[in-house]
Amino acid sequence: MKLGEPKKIFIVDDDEMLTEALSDFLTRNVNHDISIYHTGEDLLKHIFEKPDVIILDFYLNTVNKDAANGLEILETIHEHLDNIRVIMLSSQESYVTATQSIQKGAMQYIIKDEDAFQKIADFI
Amino acid sequence: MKFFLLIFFSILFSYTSNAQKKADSLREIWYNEKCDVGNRLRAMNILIDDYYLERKTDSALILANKMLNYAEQKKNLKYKIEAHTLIGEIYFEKEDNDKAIVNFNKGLELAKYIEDSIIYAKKLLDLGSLYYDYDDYANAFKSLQKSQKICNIVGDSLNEGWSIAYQGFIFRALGDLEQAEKYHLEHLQHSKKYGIKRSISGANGNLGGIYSDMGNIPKSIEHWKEGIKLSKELGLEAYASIGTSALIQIYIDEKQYEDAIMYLEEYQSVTKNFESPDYRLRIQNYQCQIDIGLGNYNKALEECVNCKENCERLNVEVNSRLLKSLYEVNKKLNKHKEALESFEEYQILINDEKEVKARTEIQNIVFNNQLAADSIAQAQEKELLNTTYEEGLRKKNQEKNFFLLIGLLVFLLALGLYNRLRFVRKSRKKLNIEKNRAEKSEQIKQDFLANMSHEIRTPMNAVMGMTDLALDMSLGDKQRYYLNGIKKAGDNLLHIINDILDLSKIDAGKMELVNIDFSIRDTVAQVQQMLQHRAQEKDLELLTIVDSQVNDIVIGDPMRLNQVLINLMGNAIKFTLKGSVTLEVRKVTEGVQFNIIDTGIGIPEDKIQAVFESFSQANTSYTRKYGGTGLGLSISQQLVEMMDSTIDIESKEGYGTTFSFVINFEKGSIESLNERNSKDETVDGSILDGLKILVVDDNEYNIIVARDTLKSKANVEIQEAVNGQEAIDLVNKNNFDVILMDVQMPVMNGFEATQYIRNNFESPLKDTPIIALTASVLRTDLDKCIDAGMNSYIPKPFKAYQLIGEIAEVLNIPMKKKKPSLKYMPEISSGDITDLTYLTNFCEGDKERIRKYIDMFLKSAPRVIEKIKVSLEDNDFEVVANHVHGFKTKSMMMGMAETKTLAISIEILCRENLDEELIKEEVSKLITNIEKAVNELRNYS
Repeated sequence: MKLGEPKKIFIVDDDEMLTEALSDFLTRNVNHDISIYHTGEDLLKHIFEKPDVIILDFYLNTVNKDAANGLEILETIHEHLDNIRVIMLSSQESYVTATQSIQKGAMQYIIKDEDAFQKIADFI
Repeated sequence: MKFFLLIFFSILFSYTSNAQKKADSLREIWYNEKCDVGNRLRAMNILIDDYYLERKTDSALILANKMLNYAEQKKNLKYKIEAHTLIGEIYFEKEDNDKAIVNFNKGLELAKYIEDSIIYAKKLLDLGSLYYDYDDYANAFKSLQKSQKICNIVGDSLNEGWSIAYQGFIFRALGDLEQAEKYHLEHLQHSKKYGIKRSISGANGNLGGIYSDMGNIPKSIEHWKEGIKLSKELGLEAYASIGTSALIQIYIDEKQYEDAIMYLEEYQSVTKNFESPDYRLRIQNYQCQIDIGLGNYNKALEECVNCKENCERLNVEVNSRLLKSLYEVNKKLNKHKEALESFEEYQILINDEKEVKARTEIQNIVFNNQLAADSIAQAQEKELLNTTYEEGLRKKNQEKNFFLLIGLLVFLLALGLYNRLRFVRKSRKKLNIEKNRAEKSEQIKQDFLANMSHEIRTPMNAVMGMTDLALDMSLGDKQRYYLNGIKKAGDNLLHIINDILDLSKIDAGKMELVNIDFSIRDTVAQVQQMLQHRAQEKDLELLTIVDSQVNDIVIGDPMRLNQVLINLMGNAIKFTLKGSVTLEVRKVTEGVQFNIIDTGIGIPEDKIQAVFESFSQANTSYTRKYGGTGLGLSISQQLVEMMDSTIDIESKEGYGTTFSFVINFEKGSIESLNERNSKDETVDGSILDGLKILVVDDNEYNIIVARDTLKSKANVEIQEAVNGQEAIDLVNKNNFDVILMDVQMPVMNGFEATQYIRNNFESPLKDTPIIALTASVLRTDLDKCIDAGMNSYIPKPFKAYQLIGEIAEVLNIPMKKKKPSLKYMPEISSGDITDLTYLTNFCEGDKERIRKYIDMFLKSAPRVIEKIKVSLEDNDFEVVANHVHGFKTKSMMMGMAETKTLAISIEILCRENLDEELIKEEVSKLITNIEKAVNELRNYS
């Protein structure tokens, strides 16, 4: 798929504000099909809808310690689906988490700062 | 005699019966519906040709029309063209010239239509020769010239030769023998070059005729003999005989009767079997002339009379020479009455010929007039171009020439660059040798760089500037596409030029690094942005990671760093077929380490050193496969060395490569960085409104670029000068607000002009601000500008905002940034803690959306505060960290910068399980901030 074409996108983050803002931003110029999930489990329920891109928060479910976090979800995603583009989001600017994400199969690792939205949009 | 006639007729009969057989079989093919269309048409073509040759024009015409219809029906354009041509020829035979031309032109149009240049060129040739036969020499000439050109382009050397030959014929017909000679010589050369034997012999023949007309007998004989020889070699006896015939006449005229007789005998034997009676008559004519020359008058008389009678009987035109011979012989024999008769007849014929000559002269005049008129028309068009260009770039014609001009410039530039490239390699070696000589070599290096810089940047300025200006106009899709292509190519070219110049600069020790504050993360982000698409095209992952430990603001040269990173990353992408390319920036004891890691093809160990050598890439086959000039790595290495470091390579063939280098940066400050960033691209040109500006440059295009750039952004009055002297004259009469002065100009250069103004004028003229427009970027040259009294400088090629910015600065006009286009301009409220600038921009001024996010914040903030308080009491620091973490984004959205930083540090503290007291302190600070924010935002309306 080419850049700029409408895609099916899943956004997974427990921060409502973020998911709302990101969704807003991405649909500004292109009519993407966006679904928002706040937990990993929700995402996995819908994984077989075969999205083109998944934007995943690293520290998913920050509150519920027992729930699966971003990395684990990432692994699970790849078990179920090949060829899925996952963008890992995090407020953590850490080399370690970045490499972990990439190793587990994320395509890109983006840090939550002012340019994050633009970077994500560029990537998509 | 009877016997001879019998033979003659039987030959004739068998010939005709053969011809009949041939015609029958052709007709069969034509009528056979099962035959291939092409074959049928071809058969018809030959049939018509034959009829035409036999002068059965009516039948030929009918058949030709049939052929045309059939070709039309079967949509066979090629034969349609042939049909039109044939019809044209037939009409010409019938002396219906108008219809002939109409058909020829139709054939021409069709040939153009099917875009078969080869056929088109051939048709042009046919048209040209038709016009020639028609005595319309001007049109013939035009057609033939076109034909020559196109034949040359498509590589049809045979017809190209014919075009040239025909042009020679025209001039011969016009009596301009010198020109004719020129063309026929060209034809000869051309035919020899392409080895077209038949044309060579033909050209020789033509030259033979020309030289004979010019009276240059030896040359004439030489060429005729050559022509005859070649024709014989090719087995073309008929052609050879033409030459022989010509030679006979020449020898007769030269009174070399022995040679004449020899050739006459040959001629006789060769033409024995030719049917046409012309040959016999000719032989008789010659014989007669020879006999006269030899004094055999009686014999001669008999022959001449016989010949004349035959001519009359066979309805063949009587040659004037024959009449002259008759006259002469009758005189010699004292047959005065007959002599007088013959003389009268001769005179009549001569008069006709004089008439012909007069007509020729008139044709000459017409011909030359026509050509002159054409060239005047062309010159007028050019005039029109020059004046209307200034009036309006909007006119479509102007745009066309615009493109031509750009194309020409680009071409010239490319040519110049190609030559320079060679020169660079040579001169680099030279430079190395001369480095040992002190002052002399310094001067040479300086001049070389300055010249190269100037000579290349000046036209580049024009090309890029004009392309930008053109792109600002309303254009058609195709035009925009082409212009964008030029722009891209221009950018690439500029890139290459800069590479070469960089290398030269570095070599000459002229490369300078700047020391300014910049953000490493910004630079890395730029690299990511620039290369993102390239990586995606190859389905590669492109990652950039800057470790949080790395200091963001440092002092150094961001552009050069950017250059190195892009070069190394770009190469990595180039040589990686699958996998990823990663830029990793981390803190090490020696400073900041940059690692470029790829999963590419790797570099063989023995080639690792070679990688850095200029102009080579590990393997020349790599270069071909992967592209590139190979300069980049060498430049990068040298740049990194200038930063007191070195590039290390680790590689494993088949696995990947890592390039790395460490730079010990000095810490920078964010204030200095912000100061530098105040110059923005989106600068508002209207701050210059009302200014009177003088632009001085010897290069017309540079003036145009400067002028149009300024005029498109501001309402200014602009005057121009092409050298320092003119500038001074204008300054004398006008009060300019600022002068844009090129440095290198003839008559008086920029420095001299500036100094004159500063020294010889009174205030306020004396102090007029002068900005140098310079193609050089060398420190020494820039200093020279200031020394000469100039206020500032702008390097070429320049961008609009640079020009505007510099003028504003020199005139102390405060800069205005163009406001971003919002739907409407809301009040951006900033409180102490919160700053809604980011949110407003994000929502593009949409109050409803802003409201939406603020509500979300107001709803969730109290909850977060609660949760943090609770987990803090429980000393559950990890949970605290989690909640705080979640808050970071929210604070970013509300522009709570300080709060965000606070949150980050709290998170780190919690996760590292540090000082409890500190954590509690920081957390309470955070909570206070959040509560404040909530209050501020509640009041938002």
